[in-house]
Amino acid sequence: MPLHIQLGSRRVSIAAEAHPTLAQLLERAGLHLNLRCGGEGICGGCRLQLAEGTFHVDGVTLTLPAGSRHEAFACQTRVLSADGEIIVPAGSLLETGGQIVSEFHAPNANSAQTTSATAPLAAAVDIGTTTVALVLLDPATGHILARASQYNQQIRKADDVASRISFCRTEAEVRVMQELVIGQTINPLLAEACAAAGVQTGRVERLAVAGNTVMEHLFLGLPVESIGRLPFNAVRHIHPPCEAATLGLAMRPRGSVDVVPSVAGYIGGDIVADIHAAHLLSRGGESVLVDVGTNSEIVYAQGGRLLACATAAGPAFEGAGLLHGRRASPGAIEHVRCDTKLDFQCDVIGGGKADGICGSGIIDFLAVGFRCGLINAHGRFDIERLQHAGCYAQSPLARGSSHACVLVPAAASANGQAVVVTERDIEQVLKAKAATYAGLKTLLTLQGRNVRDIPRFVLAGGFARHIDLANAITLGLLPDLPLERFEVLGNGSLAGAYLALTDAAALLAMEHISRLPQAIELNRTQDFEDNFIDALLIPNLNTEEFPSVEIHS
Amino acid sequence: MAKNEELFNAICKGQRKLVEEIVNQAVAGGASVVELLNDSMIPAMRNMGDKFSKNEVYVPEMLIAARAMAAGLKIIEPILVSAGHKPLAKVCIGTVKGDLHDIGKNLVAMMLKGAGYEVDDLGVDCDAAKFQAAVDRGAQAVLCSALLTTTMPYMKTITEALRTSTAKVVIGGAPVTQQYATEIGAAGYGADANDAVKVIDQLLGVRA
Ligand code: B12
Repeated sequence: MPLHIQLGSRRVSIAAEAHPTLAQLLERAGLHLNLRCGGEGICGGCRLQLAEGTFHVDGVTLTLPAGSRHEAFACQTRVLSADGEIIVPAGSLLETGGQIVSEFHAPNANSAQTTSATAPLAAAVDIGTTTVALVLLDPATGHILARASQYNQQIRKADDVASRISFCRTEAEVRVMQELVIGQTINPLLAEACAAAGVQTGRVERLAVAGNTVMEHLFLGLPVESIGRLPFNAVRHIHPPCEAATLGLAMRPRGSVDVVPSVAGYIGGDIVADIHAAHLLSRGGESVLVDVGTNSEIVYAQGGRLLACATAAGPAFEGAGLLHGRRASPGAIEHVRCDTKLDFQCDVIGGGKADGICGSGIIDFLAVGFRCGLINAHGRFDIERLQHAGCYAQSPLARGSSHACVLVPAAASANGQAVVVTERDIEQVLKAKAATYAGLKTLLTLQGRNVRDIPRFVLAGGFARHIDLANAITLGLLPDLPLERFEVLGNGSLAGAYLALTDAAALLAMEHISRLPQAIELNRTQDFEDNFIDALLIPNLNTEEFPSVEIHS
Repeated sequence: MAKNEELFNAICKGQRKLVEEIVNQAVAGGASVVELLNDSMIPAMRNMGDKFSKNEVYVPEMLIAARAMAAGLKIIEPILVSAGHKPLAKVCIGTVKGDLHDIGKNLVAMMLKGAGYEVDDLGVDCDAAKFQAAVDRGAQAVLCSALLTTTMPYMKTITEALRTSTAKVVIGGAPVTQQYATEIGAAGYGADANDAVKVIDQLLGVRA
């Protein structure tokens, strides 16, 4: 029973059995689909097209003649016929590889130094929900020997933090997640980095990790269920050092493992590492740190005091949940420019043809679209202009359809399908940016501070390195501050893990930091909802907060 | 009284301050609040709901309009009560235990009020007993909202607790699906705020 799969220009055939879902069949054939909701038929990440054959879709049996195009979720579909044909869009595949997110600024990350052939080595690891990054270093000198990164393989089971918590209902399921992040992710990265440096993995004597609270718990094999619901408590925030062998890490078995302490269920070790690496406390004065991502965290520092909150922006900035959204890896549009004739110029990661758009690209698109009047404050297109410029498209939705703008026509794209941005996509991005800005404004208002008076604004997280700051301001994601007040930290989480290994005082300092922040529950504050609704507009309903953004009426 | 165009437009456009001004002025001028509600405010929310189901307006515009509607309702609600205004039916709504997301729930509540229902808003983090108490107070339908995959399973507890009561349980929120509603035996599911009104209308047999 062969099942033919069309993947862009590639064609694959696999033996189909009637029982498993298409998602499971494809997984066995090594094609990992985006199952961020854990295959529950919710997120639409594994969307594909059924072209021919008999299928069982959502409880209904469908027979499709050759040439059909029936959209379905792979996790909810089974093949019934002797053979069948399906088309898998690139955006539904979980690309392996991952973007390089291991750049960071650390004081003594000096690569000019050398390491003796016998010196003990160490590895610093940032466990992101999406990407895991590792650097191999000589802890005595701070010299970096190699870097490696790849997707956190837990993504095969579920995409966002909450879905991973839902997955871990039993101890056995926690162990599955632990094995995926250690056995399938960190160990291969250790092997890769050691091979690149020409050393044995047994020479790695220390390892330090930083990540959000759920990632750190799963790394240590601790239960996470309580973090999933009110009052979002973790098992613990300060982790005693442990031995590598007890975790199954492929390094020196007696080697020691440190985990950067966390603050609360949704304010993790990654944020503590950010605060430490950005010298938020030691530099004194007033500053704000924002780690932009699926779960944007915001920290306000003022003379030794720290306040923190988390706003669940959602995965739109990582390209998920958008029709042609994808992660920032080769083939993604990362920057967009346009003139008044709507002649879009796109920069594609890797320089080739595009098959989708990532977070930084969608921010640019909205900002330039707004500036030239193509997109209004509510995120709606000027349809006539789109039609006039020949960029209009309509994309079908579950009910009705959505207006869309063609960024790259079918003929110029990597997969023969036009890359479009729909009004629905815009709505998703507006929700994500509104959650981030509203969190920031609510936190500062609680302190009697105005967003526009903040003298130093640190942006952490891999994603922040790639965004155009002026465009992020036009969109209303970042506050309207002079650009020189922004500082881009890069991967502060990895920097914190690196410092834990190279600076004897760092772990203690981070433990101190982890006890400081007062965690603010945004849902407990009255203003958040109002600020969120105001921030759903471009740049904001309160245009006076964005004086530098020109508003068209 | 004919439709107050100005008020209708101000709600659709979400001009909260203007809505307050118009309503305050009308009330001071002795206008009937029941007519304001029935002829201008409810039609405005219905208009937004219709456009929403045709994808002509999206959630941001709905939220802004609902906020303006809420500002207007806040002024007339006490007067309505004393005027003996009869709602279509009484329903209750709440975000389930363990969950604090309420922006979507508030929008659903506003659309229901906008459609003429009396809404008993139970707030967030509601356990089954809280919903039961609202049913005891006369709610004919129980609307549950959940935004987290980790709190959604609590809806099953609620439907089970209310199995013997006559109140209809309707569930919704981003991770919730029709399939899940069927699985746990809920009477209805709504994908969005406008859908919520349609499902309630149908279940309570209020409008054909
Ligand atoms: C705003 C927001 C928050 C605010 C909530 C403020 C508030 N007062 O509600 C804050 C910042 C506090 C927050 C916190 C958290 N959040 Co949050 N949040 C969001 C966000 C950005 C938007 C949700 C929203 O309001 N949408 C707008 C409304 C109008 O839409 P809606 O709620 O879906 O409602 C519509 C329909 O669903 C339906 N509907 C809703 N209820 C009902 C009920 C019935 C009966 C019916 C018929 C219909 C219906 O009608 C509505 C209108 O059409 C989403 C991400 C996103 N982009 O959507 C995450 C999101 C929901 N949050 C998430 C998470 C994980 C959290 C946290 C647990 C963690 C954290 N990062 O801090 C916390 C804890 C929350 C808690 N204590 O319960 C996740 C959930 C993931 C998952 N798989 O479960 C999301 C999806 C983001 C993500 N991908 O990470 N969040």
